[in-house]
This record gives sequence, structure tokens and C-alpha cells, in this order.
Amino acid sequence: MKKCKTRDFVKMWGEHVSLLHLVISIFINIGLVLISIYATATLAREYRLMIGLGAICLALIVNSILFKPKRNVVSK
Amino acid sequence: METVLILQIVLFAILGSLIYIIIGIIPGTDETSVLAPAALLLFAFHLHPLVILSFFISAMVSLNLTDSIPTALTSIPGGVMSTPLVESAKFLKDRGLVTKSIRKMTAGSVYGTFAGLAGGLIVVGLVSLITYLAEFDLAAFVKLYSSYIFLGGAILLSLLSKKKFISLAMILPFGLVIIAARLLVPTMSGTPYFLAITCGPLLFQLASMLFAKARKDASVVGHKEITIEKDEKFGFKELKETMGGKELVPTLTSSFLSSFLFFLSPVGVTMLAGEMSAQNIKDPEQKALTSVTAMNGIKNSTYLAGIIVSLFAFAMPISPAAAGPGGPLFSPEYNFLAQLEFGPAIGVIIFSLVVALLITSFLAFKYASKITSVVFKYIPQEAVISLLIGLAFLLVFLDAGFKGVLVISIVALIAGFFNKLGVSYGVLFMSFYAAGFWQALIL
Repeated sequence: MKKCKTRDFVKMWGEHVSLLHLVISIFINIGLVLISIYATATLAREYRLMIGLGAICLALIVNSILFKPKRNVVSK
Repeated sequence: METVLILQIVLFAILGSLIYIIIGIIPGTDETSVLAPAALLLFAFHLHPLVILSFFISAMVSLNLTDSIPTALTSIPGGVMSTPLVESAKFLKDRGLVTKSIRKMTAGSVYGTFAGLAGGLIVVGLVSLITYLAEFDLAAFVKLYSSYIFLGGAILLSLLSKKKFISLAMILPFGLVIIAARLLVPTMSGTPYFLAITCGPLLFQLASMLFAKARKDASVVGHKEITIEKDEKFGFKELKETMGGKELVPTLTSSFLSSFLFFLSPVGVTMLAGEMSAQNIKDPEQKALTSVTAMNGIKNSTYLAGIIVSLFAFAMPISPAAAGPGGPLFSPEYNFLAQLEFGPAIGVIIFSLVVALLITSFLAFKYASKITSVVFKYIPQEAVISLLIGLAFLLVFLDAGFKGVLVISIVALIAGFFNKLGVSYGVLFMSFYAAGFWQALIL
């Protein structure tokens, strides 16, 4: 089982990435952006943009909590 | 100037620097795909042009400086711009000289930034001198024939790149793709196109993961092993040692001279001039140190000079640095250049680069290893990639709705495909600008 799991990583931008985690985090990000866009449909463009940005920051925090980086960092 | 405006300029210079210190350290991030969306964002908020300039310059300087820190610490390039450094940085790391190499790189960036400022201003001066003496408006001439010049730029950059044939061959097809997209969504502004080109390679790689073969080719086993050395003490004695030394003269000369090569790709110039600057040094350790210092200097000077010359001498993106990351500054829809006055703008540029250099080099001298450890331990690459995609989605959606997102995704995939074949960002951006040439020809 463990062996199968470690094979799931792919190299993207020179870093090890789990495709499953990547797909979920993109869904979380786009999902939050869509919610923010539709919830603010009546507001001016600048406000929608600002709230959308907030959604993206929230997604960054959520994704960073949900998924750990695929790096083993050793300090010497 | 009003007090509020000055406060905003100061605030955004600090903000740009702090945000881009972190982004620079995140490995693999491409400077075009992280700088252009931020600039577009500031335009969307209708901030004062000087505030946007202040944020952009300080972000750019900080990004280019911290970009090389992970390279020194781990031998992984922090971004496309730091790939030329890898060889020498790895040599120094193997000899246990990580701290010294980070400090020398930082010193190189500081010198290079000022050399680029000087070089850029000299070119601006020369252009206005020619205009004055020959009574020939060079800038207006360049502007009148801009679509020819962009086409020429695309051809020149293609000929100088590694994949000459494929780069040349895609100039027209990519222009046609842009024209088709414009016909499909006529109301769309320039912003989505910038995002399409900058995020294209990422989107293409993501889409290629749908195919089993591409997944297999990219697959890796287990976590990435990274060793980071701890920071060493930094005081006045170390500062003197870092900012002086044998690297100073070659760095300043090569940075200054290469700032006149602003019209070429910064990565290419860094490769070429960086190796030349350390060619005659016998001692391998000194050679590697000189080369990392000079390369950082050259990278920063070519970049900054490219932006300054494009902004003030020609009022159009004549360098790859300006066409890509700085693209939004030249987009006609924002009318940014017309609102800039030379004096205050240069003042803001100098102010924001000094702020960025002070903040970033202080942190790099003292805490390079700590910051890198924190970024590497807590920020997963998945979150970074999805952040860029989310940001592009938001900006395109608000500009052109779902139809726009769809069309732009296709343009991005095509741009990403060309990039994968070896066509550089510089060529893609120049071809995007040159689309006007084909449009005039056809319609």
C-alpha cells in the first residue's frame, strides 16, 4: 500500500506534487472563488475583486493546512 | 505630492518587497507568472500609477534577489532566472560555503540593481539626445511602427533562442490564435491574454497529466530530500567582508555593460556575461564566488534596465522583461504611461528599489536559512499552483465571464504547448503584440 502511495507523486515546477492533492486544492480554490463571485454579483467590480482575492487567500491557508509539502527538510 | 499618495507609495513598496521575498523563495516559480498577475491586480483596483510602479519595482527587485537563495541552499533553482547559477552554487555548497555564497549573491544583486539603474538612465538620455540633436522623434517613430517592431522583436528573439526554427514558425500561428480569440470575445481586454501566456506552461503541464504516458514520465518516488545549513552570525565585520572583496569590480563592470543588452532575454545575458566575467580566475573557489556574484548582478541589471528603457525611452515594451512581467504597464487599456511623469516616476523607482534592497538584503544576510526552512516546511507546491490558477480564473472571469475563461484556457494551452516545444516567453509575448500586424494585413 505504501509503495503504491509514494508512486503517486509527479514532478511539477521541479517539486514533488501529489496529483490528487493538486486536483483537490484546485477545486477548493476555484470553488471558493466561484462562491465569492456569485455572492457578490450585485456589487461593483472592485469589491468583487477584493472579495475574490480574500477567497484565494483563504484557499491558500486551507490548502496549506490540508496538505503537507512533499519535502523532507533537514537542518544542519 | 499629497501625503496620502506618498504614504501609499511607501506602504506598497514595503508590501511588494515582503510578499515577493516569500514568492522568490518558493522553488520553481517563474517570474513572469508571479509578477504579471500582481500588476494586473493593482490596475484592477485603479491605484495611482506611481503606487503601482512602486509596488512593481520593489516586488521585482525582491523577487530577483531571493530567487537565488534556494539555489544556494539546496541547488534547486528558485525560478527560471536562477538556473544559470546552479553549477557554481552547487560547487560552493559542496565545499560548505553556502552562507558565503548567499551573501555574495545578495551583494551582487545590490550592485547589479544600481548598475542597471545607471545603464537604463544612460540609454534613456541617449535616446532623448538623439531626438534633440537630429530633430528626429525616435520614440514617436518607434511607436508608429510598433507592430513591425514587435514582429522584428519576435524574429530577433527567435533567432537568438535555442529552438530557432520552431520559434520562427509559430509567430504567425500564435498571432492567428490571438486574432481568433479576439473575434470570439471582442469585449475582452488585454489582461486575460497576459494571463494566458504566463500561466500557459503550467496549465499545459497540468492538462498533460490526463495522459498516462505523461504521468509516468513525470512520476517520482517519495518526498524530496532537502538539507538546509543553519544561518551564521552577521554583523558589521561580515557586512564589510560581503560588500567588498575581489568580486566587486567584475560584478559592477559586467552588470553595467550588460544593462545595455536590455533587449535580450535576461537569462541568456546572465549565462553569457556571467561566465565571461569569471573566465580568467584560476582559483576554482574564487571563480565560483565571482560567478555567482556577477550573475546575480547581471540578472538584476538587465531586468531593471529593460524596464526603465521601455518605460521612458520608447514607451513600449522593447525588452523581454518589460514585455512579459511588466506587460500590464504597457497595456493601452490602462493608459499607464501617459499618466507618468519622468521626474516623479524615476524618484519612485529609486525609492522603491532602495526600500526593497534594504529589507530583502537585511533578511537575506541574517535569516536566509530560517525563511527558506519555513517556506519549504509549511507551503505545499499544490497550494501555490492552485493559487495561480485561482487568481487567473478570477481575473479572467471578472473581465469576460465564462466564455472568456473558456477561450483563454484554449489560448493558454496553445501557448503552453509552444513553450513546451521550446518557444520562450519573450517570443510568445512579442508574437502576441505582433498580432496587430497580421490583423491589419488580413482585415
